[in-house]
Amino acid sequence: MKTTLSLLAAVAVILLGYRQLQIIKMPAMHKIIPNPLMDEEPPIPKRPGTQSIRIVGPPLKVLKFQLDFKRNPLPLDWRYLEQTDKKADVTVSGFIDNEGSFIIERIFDKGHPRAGRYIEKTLNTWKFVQYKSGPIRYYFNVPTKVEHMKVQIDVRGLQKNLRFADASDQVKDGLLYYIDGLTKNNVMIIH
Amino acid sequence: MAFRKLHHENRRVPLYSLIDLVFILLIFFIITSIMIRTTRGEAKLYIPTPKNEPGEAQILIQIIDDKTCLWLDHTAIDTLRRHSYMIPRADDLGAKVDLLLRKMTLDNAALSLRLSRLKESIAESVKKEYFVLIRCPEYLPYVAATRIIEKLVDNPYIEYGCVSGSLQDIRSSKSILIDGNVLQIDF
Repeated sequence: MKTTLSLLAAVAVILLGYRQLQIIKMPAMHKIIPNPLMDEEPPIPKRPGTQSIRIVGPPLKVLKFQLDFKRNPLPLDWRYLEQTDKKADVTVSGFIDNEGSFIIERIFDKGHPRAGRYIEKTLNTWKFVQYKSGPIRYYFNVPTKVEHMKVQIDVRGLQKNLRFADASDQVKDGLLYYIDGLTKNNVMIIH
Repeated sequence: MAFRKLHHENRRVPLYSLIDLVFILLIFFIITSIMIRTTRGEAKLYIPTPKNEPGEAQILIQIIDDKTCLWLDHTAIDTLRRHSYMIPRADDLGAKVDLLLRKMTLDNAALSLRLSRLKESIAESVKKEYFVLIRCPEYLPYVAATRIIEKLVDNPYIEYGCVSGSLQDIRSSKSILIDGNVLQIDF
C-alpha cells in the first residue's frame, strides 16, 4: 500500500515539475490571462430625448476608466497601419496626466517611421476619463498572428487619480484603445 | 535659315498683376486658416444627437436669451410644492412656468457660478452622475449652447446633451407634473 502511494506521489511530483518547467519556458506575455471584462465597443454617451423630460435626482456613478469619448478621440485604422507597413512593431510609452490627457514620452518604431508617425498622430488625440493617472505603454505588433498580441497595453503603472476618485472607490477598466479593424481577441491588457 | 532676332528691351514681368495675385492669395490663406482653427475648436467638443424618445436628465438648462437661462433640477420640485398656493389650478402650465421663471432664472454670471459649484460638490461629496440637458432656441446661435458645454466637458461625472427648444415650448407643453421625486414635462 505504502509503495503504491509513494509511486503515485512520485508520478504527481514529476508531472507537476514538468508543468512548472513548461510554464517557465513560456514567453512572459503568454503567461498573462487576458481580462475577459474588457470592452470592445466604444461606449455611446447618453443621448437626450425630445418627447419629454424627466428631471430626477442624480444616481450613483459607476466609475469606469476608459477613453473619454466626450473629447472626441480619433480611431486608429488598423487596415491603414497594415497597408502603411506590414512589419510595423511600435512601442509607445507615455503617461496619463491628472486631466486624462495621454502624453507621449517615447516612441520606439524600430525602423518603421511611417507607422510610428501615424500611431503618434492618432494617440495624441486620445484622452481618458480622469479616474486614473500614471505611466502607460502601448505595444503595436502588426505582423504577429498570435491572439492577444497585436496590441498590448501595459497599465501596471496607473494609479487612482484622487482628485476624481476616492481611494475606496472601485474603478473598473473600460475601453482603453480605439482601433478600427481589431477585435478584443487581438488586444491584451497587462494588469 | 534666318531667324528674327528677339528684342528683349520691351519684355518685362507684369508686376501689377503679380502683386494683385499675391494679395488675393494672402487674403485667401488668412481667412481659411482662421476658419480651420474655429472648426477645429468645435470638433473637440462631442455633442450627442437627440433621439425621438422620452428623455431623462438631472439638470435642465433652458436658454431663454443670450443673457439668461432657466435652471431646473430636482430642487424645482420643492419650489413648485412650496409655492403651490401661487398656482390656482393644477393644469395651469403658464402659472407653473412663471413661478419657475421667477425662482430659477439665472444670468450668465450666476450660471457659471452654479456650474463651478456643481463641479466642486461632485469632487467633494459622494460621486453622483449628472446628465445636463441644454435646450437652446433655434433663433439663438449655437454658440450659446457650446459655451455651456465647454464648462462641462472636462468632468467625468457630468454628461450632457443638447436639443433645440424654447421656453415657449415648455409653456405650451401637454403637462408639467410632479410624480414623487420626478418632475415630468411632456411635449
